[in-house]
Amino acid sequence: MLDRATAPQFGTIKDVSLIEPTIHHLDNGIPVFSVNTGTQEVTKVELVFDAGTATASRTLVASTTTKLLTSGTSNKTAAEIAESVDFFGAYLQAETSHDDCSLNLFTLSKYLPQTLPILAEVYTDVVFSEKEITTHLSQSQQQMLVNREKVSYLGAKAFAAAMFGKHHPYGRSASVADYDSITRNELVGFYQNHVKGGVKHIIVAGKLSKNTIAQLNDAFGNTKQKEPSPSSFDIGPNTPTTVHAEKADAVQNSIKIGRVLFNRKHPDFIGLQVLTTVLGGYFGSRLMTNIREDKGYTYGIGSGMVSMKNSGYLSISTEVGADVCQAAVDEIFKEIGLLRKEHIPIGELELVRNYMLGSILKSVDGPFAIADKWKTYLRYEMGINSHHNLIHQIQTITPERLRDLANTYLQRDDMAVVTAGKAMQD
Amino acid sequence: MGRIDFERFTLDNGLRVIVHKDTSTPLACLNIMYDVGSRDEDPDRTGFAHLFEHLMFGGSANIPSYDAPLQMASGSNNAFTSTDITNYYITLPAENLETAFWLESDRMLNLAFTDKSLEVQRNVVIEEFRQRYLNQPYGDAWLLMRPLAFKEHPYNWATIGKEEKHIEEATMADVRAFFNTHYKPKNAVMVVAGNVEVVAIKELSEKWFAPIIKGEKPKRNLKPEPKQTEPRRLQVTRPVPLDAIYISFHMCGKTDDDYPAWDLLSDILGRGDSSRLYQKLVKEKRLFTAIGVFTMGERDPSLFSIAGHISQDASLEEAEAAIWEEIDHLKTELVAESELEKVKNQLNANNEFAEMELLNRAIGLAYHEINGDAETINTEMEEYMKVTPEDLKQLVNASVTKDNSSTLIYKRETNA
Repeated sequence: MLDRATAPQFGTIKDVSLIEPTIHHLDNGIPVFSVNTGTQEVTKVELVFDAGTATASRTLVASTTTKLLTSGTSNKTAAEIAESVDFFGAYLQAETSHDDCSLNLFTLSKYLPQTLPILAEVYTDVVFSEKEITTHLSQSQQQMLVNREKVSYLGAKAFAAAMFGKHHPYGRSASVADYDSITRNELVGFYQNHVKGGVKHIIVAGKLSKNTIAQLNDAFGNTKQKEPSPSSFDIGPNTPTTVHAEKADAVQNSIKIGRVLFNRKHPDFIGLQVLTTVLGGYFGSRLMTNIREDKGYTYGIGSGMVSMKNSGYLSISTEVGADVCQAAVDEIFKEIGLLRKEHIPIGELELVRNYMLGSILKSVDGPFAIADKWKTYLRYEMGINSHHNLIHQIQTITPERLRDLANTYLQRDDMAVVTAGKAMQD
Repeated sequence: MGRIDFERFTLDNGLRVIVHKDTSTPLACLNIMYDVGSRDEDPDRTGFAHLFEHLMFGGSANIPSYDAPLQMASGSNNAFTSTDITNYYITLPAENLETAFWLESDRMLNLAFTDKSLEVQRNVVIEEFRQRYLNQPYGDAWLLMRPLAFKEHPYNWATIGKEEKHIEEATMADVRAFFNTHYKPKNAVMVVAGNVEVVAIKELSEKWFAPIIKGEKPKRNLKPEPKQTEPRRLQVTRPVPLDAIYISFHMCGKTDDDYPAWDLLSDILGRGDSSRLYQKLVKEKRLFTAIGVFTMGERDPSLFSIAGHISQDASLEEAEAAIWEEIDHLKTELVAESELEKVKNQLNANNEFAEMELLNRAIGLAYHEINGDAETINTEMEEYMKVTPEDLKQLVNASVTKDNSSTLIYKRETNA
């Protein structure tokens, strides 16, 4: 008789191998990190620039500049660029984060010779036509009006401002009026100072040919590069606060709770990643079990650590019925309190270790996933040892250490509590 | 394009099993697709297939917790429900695959429903309803469009259900009946993909799934949608910042010969920054801030839809007229060969990117098998390649017409 009550034997993950990129240098010195693996005939080329939103003097400058990188060169209109990229089934995408921006080309490997020159042209020769600028700003402004109808969006804005300060590079966000005051000069200035000639490195991944590096050299090896001028700014002390962003017609409220901490280079970061996974980092987590599976207050709740170049923070986030908003906040703090008070049972910690290792294994499967992992490590100038350390710490961290971390970093009085939606009744 | 190789076998109880081997990954996926979706629901008790998907995680005959043992074996899982199917998937290290067989076979064998889990999941699904459909600007668009476009066929309601009340009223008896009818080996396709051996999968399938009793494949007898003969229109007023327009046309089902042409038509109008509607209506005329075109890809005859947010500087009338102007071009002028080649290239590349993910290949195989034959995952592109400019012109003239259209308008509240 088949025993269905007992779980089959399973193995625990001893190690997760992460392919290290091969490093090349183009003629002008641009470092290229190459991840040559995978089964599909595809290539991703990512140009990374020290040109994040925190680098710019005010909001919208970096994101608008990045977005307009594909808006036309002296030879090609925006429509012609789109046409030439789309014809090969490729994608040309610009991304902006707090700390950097990147220009990505996704293409079938066989079309790299046709699509790479478009990427090169786009990056070195943007003209920033007034018409493209006004069209983009007007449409983004109207998109923002739509976003403002979402409690998650209102909550995220208020949360960043509550933690870092509303004028801080990590805490500020655009207002509707900001779109009216952006000038072409600001965008051109940011492009000239931070993007053009500011390639920090190139990450290339996929099933590459032996010519790929030479092709990259042809495209980018003779562009003039300048010395990087990374931004620096202070991070103020953590300032606990309670904020409510009103949206009277909301049927659900957004809740965001967290505090300023530090980035992934800090020795306690990984421990806090484990701790926030126990709290709310997976389907069986304490917050999901309590607030979704026991109380039915929400469709989902999560917690985790967020790392940025100059700081980092802890974040707990959910959307709950407006009528149970206060009850949900209370339950969140109850769960945090338990982490401070009691050791995490060995069985639960074992499960979280195994789950996290499984997630990491999945997160480095395939060339683009590996490239993303290295993009993160390169941002912090971290190498393969950081990956080994991550695995080792997940495997060995103790319940005692986790409780200590909870007592050091998860005090209720240190938290920013942000809600967005209907005002809460007492 | 890379072929997706696989082997197929069927257990005595009717469970179809597909094995796709990929030794480049340390992972394995186990995907089970049940041939049941919201189209199989009673019109007075909608949202049930999806609510049931939630209940599938509430413990089974011999295993009180579904998630914990899987997480212990370094796995992760999720599920989704559509109008046509309900799909469950697990990803885990290949060496731990048996854990997935154990979990999935036990919940196909029998569920252990409790009143508590039914009550909680009703609440969770209602919060999902609110989060995704009610508490988002334009979130109720498909709750409005489906009943406008469908008068008889059960695509008339969205998978989440017609209203919260239907979910609130679900009883334990409903839940049991639903399980007993639809969650049978004969009504499912299992795909195992990744670093696995076919022989081992055969053994594991026999061991864990063969003992499950056969049951009958439920008969499906859905009302066909009568041909639409005149334009339909619904206008609603909402606290949204921009007016919006949704126009849907009846089209064929996913496995119909015409489907590739519809799919390519949607790409010509709406895929990427070089597409017609984006270039003309968003960039040149600035009538819309965003516009999209898509096919639902449902199994039965379904919808081809155009949806856009209208710029504050434009009027609804000129925006709507401009969409029709683009449609009229397609009725009189052939699409250039190079434009058609472009969207075929886009589709090819897109498949190649999507197939990087093992799970996408597993779900794709299951989906094609449920729709008739897994092998069509490898041959469907040939059908796309055959589509000609004449095919598109004919299609637009025949079906992208006012009489076949349902138009949904969101007007912003003037004081919003």
